[in-house]
Amino acid sequence: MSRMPLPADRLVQPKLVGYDPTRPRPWLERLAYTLFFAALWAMVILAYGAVPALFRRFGWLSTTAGFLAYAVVEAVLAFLLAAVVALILIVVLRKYLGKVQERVGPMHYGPAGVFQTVFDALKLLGKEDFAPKRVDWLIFRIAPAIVFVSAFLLMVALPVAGGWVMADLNVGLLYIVAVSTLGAYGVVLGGLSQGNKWGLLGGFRAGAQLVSYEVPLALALLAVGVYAGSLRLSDIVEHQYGVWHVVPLFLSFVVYLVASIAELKATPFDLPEAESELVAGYNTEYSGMSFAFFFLAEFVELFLLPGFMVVLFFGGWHGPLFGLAPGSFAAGVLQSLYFLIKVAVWVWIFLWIRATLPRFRDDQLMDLAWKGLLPLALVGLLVAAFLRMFLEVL
Amino acid sequence: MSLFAEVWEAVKAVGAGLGAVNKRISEPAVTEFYPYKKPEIPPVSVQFLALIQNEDGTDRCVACLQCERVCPSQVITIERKRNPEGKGFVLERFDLDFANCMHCANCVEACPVSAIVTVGAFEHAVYDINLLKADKAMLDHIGHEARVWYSPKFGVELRTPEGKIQKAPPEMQPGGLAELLKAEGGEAS
Repeated sequence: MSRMPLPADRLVQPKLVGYDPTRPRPWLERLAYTLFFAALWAMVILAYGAVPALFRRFGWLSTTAGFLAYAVVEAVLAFLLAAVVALILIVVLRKYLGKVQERVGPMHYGPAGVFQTVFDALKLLGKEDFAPKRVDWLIFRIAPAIVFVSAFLLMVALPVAGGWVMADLNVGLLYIVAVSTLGAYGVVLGGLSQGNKWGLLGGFRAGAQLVSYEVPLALALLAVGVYAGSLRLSDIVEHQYGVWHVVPLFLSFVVYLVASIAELKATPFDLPEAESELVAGYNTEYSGMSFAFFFLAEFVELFLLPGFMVVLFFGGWHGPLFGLAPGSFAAGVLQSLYFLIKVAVWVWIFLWIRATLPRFRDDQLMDLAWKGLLPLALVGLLVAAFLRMFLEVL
Repeated sequence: MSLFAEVWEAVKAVGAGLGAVNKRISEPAVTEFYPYKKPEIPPVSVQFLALIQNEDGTDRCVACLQCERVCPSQVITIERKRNPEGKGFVLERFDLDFANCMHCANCVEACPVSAIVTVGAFEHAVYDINLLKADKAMLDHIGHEARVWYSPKFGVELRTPEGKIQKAPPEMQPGGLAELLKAEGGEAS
């Protein structure tokens, strides 16, 4: 007689570690996410406002050593800001998609899973960074760096408040186009170097997508430059004091919206990393921190492209100042808050689109980009040029 | 004009999709917190099979071999002998291989005396497949552990805390009467 022996842990109630999702405390969850946003705001103030003001206050920028120290500190702060942005946006994306799909999303680490990404990052840090035998080693290793650096360099040109920008380039729009195109190189090279047919297909698709959306994107940016009469991003924001550019340049705005979703490789245009067709597309063979850099770059871009959209079309940092002198530090703090709120709204809309639309086919993307967006962008450019002409005449 | 009409159609379609997605946010999540909150299994659910013994400890099973005959996976093995004291048969062996059982509950349907029943216990994953080969002692044990079980002949039955077996109240029973009672209760409340 053999009685079926029950395993010792069969009827044991498993112990719940961390936040208990079965007893939700909504006020704590809202507080946690608000603190996350506040941390982002604090990082933006530190990187764009406080540290440059400090260096200028003590006159350290005039010496070579002071300028080098400034550059190093700003680079480190920009990297930290990129990390904070990615940490927040990843968990926000997962919670939002969970809500939309009637799931819960991350829930155990911290209230409503706010610390999920921290633990994910620790896991990825602890993993072996494995390179298969048949990869082209140098390109395989350099591709994540290219992708991340291109996303990271865009942060330099982002004006978050009046005078708060790391490098106020007089060719800011050209800089955006040049650097964001560089990121697509990293994706293509990463796909092609890994000796894996999924990665190869992902790289091919990324290349095809790149040449399709970059042209309308550049033309949309050009329309803004023509209308504002300057390529400098601060001037473009200053030019929107009367009316935001989204009203006169609505066509260019639509083109920029669609093309920036394509640049993000978000769902309607996520051909290079289509999970259901190619395993993970161009990052199939990446593991550990190399994969984390691709991931980080994607979410930093999810912050930066809405950021540039706000700068170009939605008045940047403009908002009521309540009597604060423009150009003062307090005004900068308030203006960066306005900027971040506008960006947050646009990030939400990007996630909303991502949660809604199914994936395009490759030829449909080509069709849309070359037969739809390109003529639209040209018309938008024409509209911008005529409006500029009338403004000058008036 | 047809181009603008097409664009307008596309914008309307995307807008409808966005609206539908936005509506889903306010709906509650369907996630089960399974290991932390155990679900309540309805009384009629084929999770596991058990042999029921009468209150005096004798087998309900009369060794008629109906379940062995009807089993599509042929996982039931019964050995019986003539009852030395009276008519009929008594069980010598009743083996059920849960590793190959497909939980169709045809044996429960076939049993004329409601000896083999379905019970709601469901956490039976084990690391060793041999642990799933149950014998009569094991099946009796599951039956003694069960508080509620179902067979088509007797309906849902309960084991009271004192060890008595009794028929469950009609609102627990499946089928027309219970549905009628529930519908009436729903209307009343």
